[in-house]
Amino acid sequence: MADFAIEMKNVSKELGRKKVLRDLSLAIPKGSVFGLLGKNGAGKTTLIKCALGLVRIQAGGITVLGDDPGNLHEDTKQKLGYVPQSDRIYPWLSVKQIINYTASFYSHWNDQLVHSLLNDWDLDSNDKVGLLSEGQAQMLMIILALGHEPQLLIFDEPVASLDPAARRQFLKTILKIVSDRECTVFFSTHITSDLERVADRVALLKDDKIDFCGELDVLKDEVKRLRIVAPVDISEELNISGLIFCERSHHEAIISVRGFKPEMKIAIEKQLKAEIEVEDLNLEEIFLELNR
Amino acid sequence: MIKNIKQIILLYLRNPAFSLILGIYLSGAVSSRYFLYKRDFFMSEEAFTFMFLSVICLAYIMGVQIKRQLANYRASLLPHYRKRHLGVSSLWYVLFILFAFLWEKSLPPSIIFTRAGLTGIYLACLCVAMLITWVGYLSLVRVFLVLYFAVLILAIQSQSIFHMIDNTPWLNGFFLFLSLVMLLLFGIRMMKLKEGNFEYSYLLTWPPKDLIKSQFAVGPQKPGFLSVIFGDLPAAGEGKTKKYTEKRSMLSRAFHWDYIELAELKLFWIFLALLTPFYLWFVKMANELHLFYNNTYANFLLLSVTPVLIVICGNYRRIVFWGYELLKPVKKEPFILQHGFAMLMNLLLYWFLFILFFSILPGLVLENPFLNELKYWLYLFLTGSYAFVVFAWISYMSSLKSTRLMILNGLVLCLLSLLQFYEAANFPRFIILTNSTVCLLIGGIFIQATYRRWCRAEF
Amino acid sequence: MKNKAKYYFQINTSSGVPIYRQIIDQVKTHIATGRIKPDTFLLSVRQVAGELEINPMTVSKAYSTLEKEGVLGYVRGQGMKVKMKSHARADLKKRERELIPLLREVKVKASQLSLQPKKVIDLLKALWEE
Repeated sequence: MADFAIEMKNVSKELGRKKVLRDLSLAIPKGSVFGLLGKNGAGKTTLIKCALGLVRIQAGGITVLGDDPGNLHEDTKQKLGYVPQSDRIYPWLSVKQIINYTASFYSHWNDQLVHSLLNDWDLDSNDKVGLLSEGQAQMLMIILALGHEPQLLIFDEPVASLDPAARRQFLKTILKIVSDRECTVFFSTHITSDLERVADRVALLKDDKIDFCGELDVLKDEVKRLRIVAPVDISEELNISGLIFCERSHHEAIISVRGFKPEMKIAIEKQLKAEIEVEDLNLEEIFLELNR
Repeated sequence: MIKNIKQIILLYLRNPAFSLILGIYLSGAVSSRYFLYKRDFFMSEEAFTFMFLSVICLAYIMGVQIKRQLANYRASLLPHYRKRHLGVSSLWYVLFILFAFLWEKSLPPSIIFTRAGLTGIYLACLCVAMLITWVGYLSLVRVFLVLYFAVLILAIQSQSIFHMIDNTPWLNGFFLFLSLVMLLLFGIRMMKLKEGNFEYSYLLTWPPKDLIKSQFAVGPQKPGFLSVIFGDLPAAGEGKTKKYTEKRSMLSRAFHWDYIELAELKLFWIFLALLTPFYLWFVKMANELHLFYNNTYANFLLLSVTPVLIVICGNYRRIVFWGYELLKPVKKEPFILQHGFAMLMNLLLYWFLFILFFSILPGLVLENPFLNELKYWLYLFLTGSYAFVVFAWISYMSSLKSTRLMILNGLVLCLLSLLQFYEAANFPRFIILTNSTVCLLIGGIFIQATYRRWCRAEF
Repeated sequence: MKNKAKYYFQINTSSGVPIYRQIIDQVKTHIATGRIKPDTFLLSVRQVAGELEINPMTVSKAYSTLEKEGVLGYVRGQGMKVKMKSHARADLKKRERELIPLLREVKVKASQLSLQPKKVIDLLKALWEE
């Protein structure tokens, strides 16, 4: 248990009549940068809210840093940082005031970090929060979540309204934090290129279940697109385990598979006397293939 | 911890609305005592009204603040968040009551306000305010708005309420007990509020920028909550209506834009009907209030201004979507005309409900001799035509760009309303009739001007 | 004195090849071409991760794989040191296999340009002797 920052076991969650999560299990190891992928409406936000105890779950068990999210201990809260997708915060306060306000809740607050981030992101600490743009407000929320140097950082679509420069800055900050100290980062996104850069583990949420969960590199090794050219007619006889998608004419086929191993290629080559080209897929392509 | 509590207290003080009304409260209290010191009892009482009314507003703002503070993720994730925020809110209110105690201390016996009365009323106000903000849901908002305005109007009769409460200890105790129980329940609920709870996302918001954001965050208005209580009520508007383009008459087109309002209106009828026996019992029992309900001339603002506010508040939520709706294949001029028409129909209905439940029905139950007089009915008609003016005038103000003009218009409107409230009933029948006619005329002119201005407006 | 390799990797985060494998390939390539000399130290995991803006775990995974393969050696307190000259010790079959995809591309291109295999081999030889 101590090895996981978040552990979800057989969690089910319904919103109204719709099942959003069904019997879902997920474990996020400590120290990892964990990316959660999924189509719009797949339930990423709900999963995160369940993990934080912001909503009640219908079945299953969750622990966050070894604590029950439905009833978090104050000490656990000191170690948590969360940035929601969008947030409404007191518009009449200035950036400086909202920082002081948030800081006052925590026993530890890194002023230096907060100031350098404000600098990096060109946020004026005297600006009123209500006048910030969507992106700036998101930056501010990120800064507020980093100030107390939490052990577990959870972001819901953190970069959705950030421009490319700010997005890069955000990733850099996250990487700096992970390499400086023990910290687990869990975030949902649909911008796969960001995930590829920073995440070491990913989970794919599809049809209220986790479709894949593990190391990003393993995912990339396992999901491949094969281009098969065979001397015989192969339009009927393709029996490959882990087939996701197949497109074929008489002698040629383009198939995507999961659970790919080099031996598999040799086996098919022998079986069909075919020539096979293995194509590496990047995360975006994998995402598209798996969501077919 | 002290730093933290200081920050939470500052959170209130930095809120412009809160600090402004706190200022009014304090200056009302100070000037009331000052006039008392100068033996000017009339002015003292007027200043006290400010102090009293501002507490109602403060209670309301605090309700919004509490909801705002607790209906978000921070409440669950920041250490000690809920306890301290609820603590600070209670602290504020205790301070208000303590201040009122101090204010009341060594008051000459000629003035009838007492501690018990003050406390009871203050707590009752807080409860109403909590309810409004707690269940800040579309239609229910308006239902509770009515209650709220009723309290506000009662405040004008504050003397008699104080008198009544002071003279009936059990009633005072009952109020106090009810308030404390409700506050306790509210506190417990707020300590555990989660996102799945139905009241979580329905927060009365101000100003509009925030409102628009929250509307988009919540998504389109969900009829789900209504249908839980009343079966397929909202569906009646949705399923059976033809498309906008198939509708011929102005009336049916106006209904098209208005179908959500209609579902709410039905709810409103039901709610008032359920409520009526209780308050008639209350009216019969409380001798002092007897006068108030039985004498229609005292209810002018309740009958004329409140329905307008309800209609305007409802539409205010929808107006932010006008620009978006105009992208649909509709023409701007008829669109605005139909909306205006729909609002007017609503106004008529609400006004009718108000005179029925707050004047005619109590009159019948309490056997009010006024019912046989023509003047009474003319006066009721005046409340309707004045409601029309207020509606037209506020709509006109909504199309003004200059803030100064708006404040000026608002001031004139307020003064006019007070004048009507105090004086209208003192005139003979003929003048009342003329008054109504003039009101209708002026209203018509304002409506025309508003229509033109909105047609030219940018969305 | 420590002899740090001032070489930075070039990675493409949105390629299908996992980042750690890109790093491994580049280390090997540059040892083979001589850009990274034996006995030099590679930049630390943190430096590489910081420079490339990638997850440090990825870099350390690449380094430890290379260490397992015997290309790098960990020197306590100093970092990763390049141990071998090239792929000399890796077995022949494996090295051959690595070349085959490239050769296959050459074959496809050559047949598109209707060049005979013999001509291609001649060209290759000429390149070798340059």
